[in-house]
Amino acid sequence: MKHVLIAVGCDVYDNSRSLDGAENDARNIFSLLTDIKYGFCEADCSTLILSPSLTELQRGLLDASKSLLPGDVVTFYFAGHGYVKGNIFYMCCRDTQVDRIGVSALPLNNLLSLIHEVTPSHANLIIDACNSGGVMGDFNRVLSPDTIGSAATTGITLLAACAQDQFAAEVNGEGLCTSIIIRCINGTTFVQDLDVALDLASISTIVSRDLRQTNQQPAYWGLNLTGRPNFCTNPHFSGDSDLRRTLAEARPMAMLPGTANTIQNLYSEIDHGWVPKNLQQVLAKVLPSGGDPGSNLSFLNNLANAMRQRAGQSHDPFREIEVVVTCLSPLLVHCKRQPVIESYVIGRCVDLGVRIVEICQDIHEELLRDEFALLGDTGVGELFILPGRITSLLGWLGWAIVVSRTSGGDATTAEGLAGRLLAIILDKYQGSVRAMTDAQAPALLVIAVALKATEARENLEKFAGLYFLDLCEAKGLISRTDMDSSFIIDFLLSKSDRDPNAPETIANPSTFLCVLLLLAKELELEDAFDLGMSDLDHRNANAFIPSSYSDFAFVKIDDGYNATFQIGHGIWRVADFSEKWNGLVRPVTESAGISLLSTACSLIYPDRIAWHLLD
Amino acid sequence: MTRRVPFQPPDSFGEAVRECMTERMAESQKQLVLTMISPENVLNYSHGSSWKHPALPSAVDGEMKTHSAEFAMPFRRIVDGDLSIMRESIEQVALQMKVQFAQSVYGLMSETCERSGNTVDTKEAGGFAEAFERMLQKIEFGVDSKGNVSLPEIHVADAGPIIAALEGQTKEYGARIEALIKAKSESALAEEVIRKAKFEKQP
Repeated sequence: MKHVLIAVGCDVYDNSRSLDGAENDARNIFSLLTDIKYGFCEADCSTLILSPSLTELQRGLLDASKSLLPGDVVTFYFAGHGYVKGNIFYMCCRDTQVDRIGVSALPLNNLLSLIHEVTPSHANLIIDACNSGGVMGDFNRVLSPDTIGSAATTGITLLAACAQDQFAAEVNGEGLCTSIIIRCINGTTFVQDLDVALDLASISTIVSRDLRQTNQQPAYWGLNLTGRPNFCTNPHFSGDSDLRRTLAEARPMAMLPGTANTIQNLYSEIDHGWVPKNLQQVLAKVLPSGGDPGSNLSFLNNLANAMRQRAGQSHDPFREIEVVVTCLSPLLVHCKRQPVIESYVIGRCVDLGVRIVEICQDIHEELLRDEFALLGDTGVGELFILPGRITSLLGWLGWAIVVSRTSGGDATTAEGLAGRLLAIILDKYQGSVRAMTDAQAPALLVIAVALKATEARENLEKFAGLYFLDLCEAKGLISRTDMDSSFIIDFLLSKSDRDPNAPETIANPSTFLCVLLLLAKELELEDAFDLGMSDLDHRNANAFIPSSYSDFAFVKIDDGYNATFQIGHGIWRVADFSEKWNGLVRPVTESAGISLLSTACSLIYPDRIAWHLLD
Repeated sequence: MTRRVPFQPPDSFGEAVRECMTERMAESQKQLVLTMISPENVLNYSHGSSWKHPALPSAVDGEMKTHSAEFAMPFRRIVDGDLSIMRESIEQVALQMKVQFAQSVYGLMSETCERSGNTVDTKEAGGFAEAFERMLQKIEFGVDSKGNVSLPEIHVADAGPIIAALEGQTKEYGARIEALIKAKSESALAEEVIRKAKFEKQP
């Protein structure tokens, strides 16, 4: 399929007032649309005709039509005098005589007949001439029911510069209508940035808007049976069109003012400023819990796909996983009552699980080549970040194992990989298996549950033991999940000195401590852990138990309770803790989708723990 | 090709940590600098890179000098979770900055004294004690903002030999030094009275 342009500009008239800008307009349109930067038309097949006689114009059309094949796209542009007589619109040529117009000018009918004969897939017609709105009469005759609707019907888009009883103005040597079109083509005027190409319909909207300030009233007509017809490239197109389209389509969902921009900003920050909680907060506003589940699913699916595309280009291989889970997390509230959403969530979880295994395989290979492959570029900040990175890596792989088991898949590949990664970490990164932040707690629980009944059990016990040892050495000091980055150095110095005098950084109570005490029981490490309990004297451990795991994606989960345990006050041994824990009333997950997605939520919003994994 | 590392924090994290670390280093360096210069003699400029004292011909013009320090953190120590590397780095940088600052301060002081002839030679004087006496004779004491005489400070890497030499002197020497200090102090206070009097409107 090729694009062919026929551009006609007639300034010189033997029997009428000459014009100043018609030739110039035709030249400009021709040079833009045959420039690959702006247009799709092939210069070799396209024709520029300036101030032709009727014969020259007819010959020019005939020659140009020879290169046209069925299925091609043709654009016809005319600037010059126009005239309506007997409900027929005529394009005036150099030698046109108004009193003999029927035989001295080109009626639009002839052009439409030619199009009808050649059957291009689409024809764009632009007439910047006086009375050009008169073309509508021709269309009514040509386009009868028997000529449209068949498979080969040509789509036609027509833009006429003015109504049939109006003049088309020229300003400073250029047609007013054409100058607006040109500004749309070259990007001076913004049309839209959703699509890689602009169609004449979009441009017509701009022409109508901009001509509104004048008396000139353009006419637009379109018949399109074959999809969006391209007219020119879109200079404002950007790669995030999927996201923009998603946001545009979401407007009926009472999108709050400014929210689309906020999501757009979060999208652009995916690589360098990604914080899941920021998107979580926006989605909570956009999608109130009582919203229509179907609309939510459609919006979130599109949003996840658009953002995943961007995240796939990130320097962080796990960014796409985190982004998709964040986008899908609001669906958690619908899983219980909406089988379609439950099924969708499980499907996406399985897909993500497979992808996580692929990513972890790459990381494993990289670690074999470079023992520092897990080291980031935050300098001294790595002392804090690296321990969390290790826990997250294993936590997500643990989640992939849980997904595989829950969905009836084969988890052996993921289990083997997790075992090998754990072995490398204990070998090369043992010093970074440290309890730095409560945000490590959810991932530790997930990997422990995933590996406790596998061949990696022994290494898992060592892994949990290292965290407990580190926590005991630091007298239970561990940072809060919401600690500001500016306190990292204070916290590290405080941990290094075992000095608790940085209370704004310390998690009190600590969920990580709670998870460790639970794992002591799960992994039968009670005796070893009991030896260190006195180092944790007076420290508080906490478990927030939600009323329902369906609420797990909320920014703040209101329904539920905090169970706080103070070491040395009713808890002296792991067994004391286990006994109290067993007495707690805990909800069960109501479906597989809720179980999987709530666990994933705990990994992206680490101020909550998927305790159901232990049940 | 850029390395792909999982679970990277936002760029702002690295910036915040670096900023915090720099603040710690600056704080540490500031404390070390204050051991050499009184806080009231520290001038802060927002613009330019040099300064003059148009009303004080005896003062030395100066210009900004850049001091820099670096520290290295081996990957292995980070991977090993060695938290002591942080304090080491802070102290290491502060010390490097102090050394450079001292070189600037003493270099400028030495240059100024050479130019004004305010120097003494221990060998020529016949020993530390004699040089010390000559030094007191040559310099003028100052008066601080509270009206107290500022006695001169001696900055040496090893003060032992000087102290030993002074302690081994006769009573007469001690009396001479005390008289010298008294006279210099009185002179400084008298100069201060004259200086202050200049604020008063002349008849």
